[in-house]
Amino acid sequence: MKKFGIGRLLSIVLILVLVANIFAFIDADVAFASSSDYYKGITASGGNALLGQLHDLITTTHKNYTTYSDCSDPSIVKRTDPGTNGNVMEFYSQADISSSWGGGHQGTWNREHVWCQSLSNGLWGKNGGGSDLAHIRPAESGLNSARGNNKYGEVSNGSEAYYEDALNNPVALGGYISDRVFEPLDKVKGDVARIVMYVYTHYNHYSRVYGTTNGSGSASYFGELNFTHIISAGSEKNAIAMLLRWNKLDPVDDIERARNDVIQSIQGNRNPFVDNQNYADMIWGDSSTPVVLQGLEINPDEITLNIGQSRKLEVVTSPVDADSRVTWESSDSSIATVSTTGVVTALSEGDVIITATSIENTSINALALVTVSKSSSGNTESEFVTITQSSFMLTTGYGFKTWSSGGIGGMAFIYGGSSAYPPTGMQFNCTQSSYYLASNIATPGAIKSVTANIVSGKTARPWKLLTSNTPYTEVAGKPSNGTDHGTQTVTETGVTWNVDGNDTYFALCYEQTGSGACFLESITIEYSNGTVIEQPEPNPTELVCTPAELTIKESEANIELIKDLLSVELIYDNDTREEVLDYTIEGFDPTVFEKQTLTITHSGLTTIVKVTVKQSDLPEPIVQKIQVNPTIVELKIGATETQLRSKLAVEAVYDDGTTKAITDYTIEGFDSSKSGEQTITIKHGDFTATAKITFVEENVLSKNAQAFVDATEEIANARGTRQKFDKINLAIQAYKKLSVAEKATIDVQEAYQTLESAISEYNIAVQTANQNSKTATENATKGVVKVISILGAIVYLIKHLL
Amino acid sequence: MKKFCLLLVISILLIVTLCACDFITNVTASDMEKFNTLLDVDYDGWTLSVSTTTGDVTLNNKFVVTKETEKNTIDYTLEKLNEISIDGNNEFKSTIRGSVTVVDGKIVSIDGEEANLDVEQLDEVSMVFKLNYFKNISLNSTTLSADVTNPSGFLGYEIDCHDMKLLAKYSDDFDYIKINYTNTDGSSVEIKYEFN
Repeated sequence: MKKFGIGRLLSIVLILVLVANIFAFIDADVAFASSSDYYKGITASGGNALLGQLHDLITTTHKNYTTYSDCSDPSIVKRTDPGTNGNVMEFYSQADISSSWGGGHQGTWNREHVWCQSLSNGLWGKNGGGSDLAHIRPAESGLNSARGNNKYGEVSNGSEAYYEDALNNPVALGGYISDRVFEPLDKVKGDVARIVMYVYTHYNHYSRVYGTTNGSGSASYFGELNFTHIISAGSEKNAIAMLLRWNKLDPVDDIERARNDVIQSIQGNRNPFVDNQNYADMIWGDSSTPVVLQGLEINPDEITLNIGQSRKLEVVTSPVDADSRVTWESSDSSIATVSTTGVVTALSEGDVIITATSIENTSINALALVTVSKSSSGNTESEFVTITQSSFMLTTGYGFKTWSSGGIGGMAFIYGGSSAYPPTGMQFNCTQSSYYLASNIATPGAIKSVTANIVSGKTARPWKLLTSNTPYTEVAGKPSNGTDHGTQTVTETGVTWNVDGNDTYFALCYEQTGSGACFLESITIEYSNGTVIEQPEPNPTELVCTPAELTIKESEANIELIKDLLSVELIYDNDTREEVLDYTIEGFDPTVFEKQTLTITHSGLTTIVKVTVKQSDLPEPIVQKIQVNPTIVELKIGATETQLRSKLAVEAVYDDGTTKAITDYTIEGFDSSKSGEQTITIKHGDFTATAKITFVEENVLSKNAQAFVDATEEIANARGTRQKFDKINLAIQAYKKLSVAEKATIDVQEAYQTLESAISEYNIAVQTANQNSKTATENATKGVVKVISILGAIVYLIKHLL
Repeated sequence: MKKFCLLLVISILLIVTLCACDFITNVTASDMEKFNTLLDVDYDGWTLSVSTTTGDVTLNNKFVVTKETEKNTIDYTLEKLNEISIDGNNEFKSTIRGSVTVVDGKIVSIDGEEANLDVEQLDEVSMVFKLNYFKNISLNSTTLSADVTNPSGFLGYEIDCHDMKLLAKYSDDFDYIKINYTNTDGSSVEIKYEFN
């Protein structure tokens, strides 16, 4: 029988070790797949189908939802956002920043939500999307704060925002800010766009982005996100157009590709818009063509109000989905004022022109004539409001949609169509029994009639009219409250219900049973102009302020400017809102450079706004003189100028009263070759100061003094805390043996200062160690075992004894 | 040669099998849930040890809790470093020892001296063993070890740290639970709960 040799045995052992190591390397949590493997299930060629597939992919492969702590962990962030030489790459400037976590201090990085928490529609704070490594980037704390919760957009003449160091010196440009909009640098725009698209695709509920699942993430992570939440562009279309533009302007680079690999290795998913830059156009390209505003109208363009009445004017754009943002102006605010949201309030008798001017194109505006009457007594002239398909916010499928026209509005349970079958007019299908259209914003006067017309060529259908003096609300089924004015068959030539009384709300209810869709062309509401309605005055119930937080520069720190940036509204018990300007603000201190809470008061109601004043650079102070301390110095014969400088503290004194140490000065008159007194002159530019030096013979130290000096020097050689303690203690013991005369010598005095510094430094380290121990022990008591009284006793011990 | 190859294959299979059958693969939520029930056991007493290392210095605090019918006793040992004073007699470290008796939520004696101290009633926070708080879980009939990916969720309170690791020994109840983590300033902590 052959013997089993040592060589063979060793080979077996080596193979077994190798096999064991192979098992150890398999990561059971996240299997790394190549980029192309990751997308092998994506079959759609574009549009909503591709959007839905990408949503399903990146949510189902998102296995490990990272924590907020992970996003501040330098060991992770150095992998996701590496700079050079072990630093981290600051997001907006792409400059190096120290990898150490600074916790919010100037010049260090903290966690930047590209899609701000306050603009996430309540979806995230510190988890879900709020701690997704594909979303969160490291930004310098001051730059992060300057960007604040400003939306992204394109500005002109914006002020520059810098990454600054701890001494407020600018390090690198990070972007531009103007009118609450932040524009990143061109080299970062693509990064921002692709992160925004990732967040939109991932954290919209699957039903909103044509997906089928949200993967394993908590349901609370998903909801409703629109691009206009984070992009300032006037409309969703224009926001998409800007993102697609930025995506092309700043293409994907190796930094983003490498980051995507690291993200996948940690959390399991990837940002598809980095892996395939064309995905953005494939999904949104067709819907992204910027809509150019051609014209504006005001609806209604002619109204009559009684003194004290208010009416909201609406802007209608051409085309309908162009940017509808406008500024409002009254030609005579003593007759009628107009708020920033188009609410006209009649103050005194007369005629006034209300102008709406487009923000996107200030050469486009529209006018409305407002006539303010003294009284409505006996005046029965009618006003008309017409509701058409353009008054609605329609999407797909069916459900409650809101409408707004001519200063009134409400909701309808209506059919929104599909991409294949867009609705024809206002479409009500009979597959549901509860189609109706109703108002919850009152007509200014009593309703006199309601007329409905069918789309030409469509089948006439039965409808019932209800009117009420209270707003209609969303109900399952049809509303049944109010006065029933009967059922009539609506045709394309129209049918009218005549209404008596003082009701100012209506509901039209579809009465067709079985099958049959109804396509309404329009509904016209006639209401009394000037009829005095015996309604109680609405009471204000709430005061709201937008935005809830803002950051301003020190130069802007005044109440009037803050008011310009705020929109404050009263909400009434009839659900109407009114912007107010005559509110008071209390609690503002322009000299405080941290977040402060201001109280806004109007009509006995209060709300708050949080304001941060960012301290700006002060103008350079001017030097007035220099001064030196001490002015009398003792040195040994043969001392060098360097030794002299180490004893002098030279400062520049500025015209603002501040001082600053300076080292760039020259010394004249210094000669250490002989004993005696000298006067030296210190020069810094045009400024001079003098000091007296006394040169003394070098003393030979006594044995004890020398021992003390040596012991103090030895402290610097200590290795570890215990050794440092021992060496400091030895130096202290040596000092205690010195006589008064020995303590007065220069060398001993210098050594004593060194000893004091060492003790101070040591004690700081001791305090840190003790505090760490106390904190860790306090935390540990929160852990386990439900013996509450015992834990309370331990907490007592920790607080009193540690 | 043939015998050598056969021996090699058998050895590899043995290694794989031994490695596989000792530990549970595919740890489930219910596997972790049982540790929550072990926390509810009415232990006769327990010891809390906390070691904190800052730089090259380690400070150890210990509380030994003994439960009796009508009272509970805590024997404690606490360490702290002493600050240096030029004028004082300096000692590197102080160790404080003593004993506290607790009855019905009050400290009734401290180190033999009478006392009448209401102690803080703490909110009932407790560790929670949840599958998605961990990764690299290794579990068998006596030992659980894992990396903690959600320290705040696991401990039940907000904590900013990293590299938290858990090691627990158990049978019908816990022998001990040991937790290690690193603070953001680089100091490290070890907490050990040992149960009677």
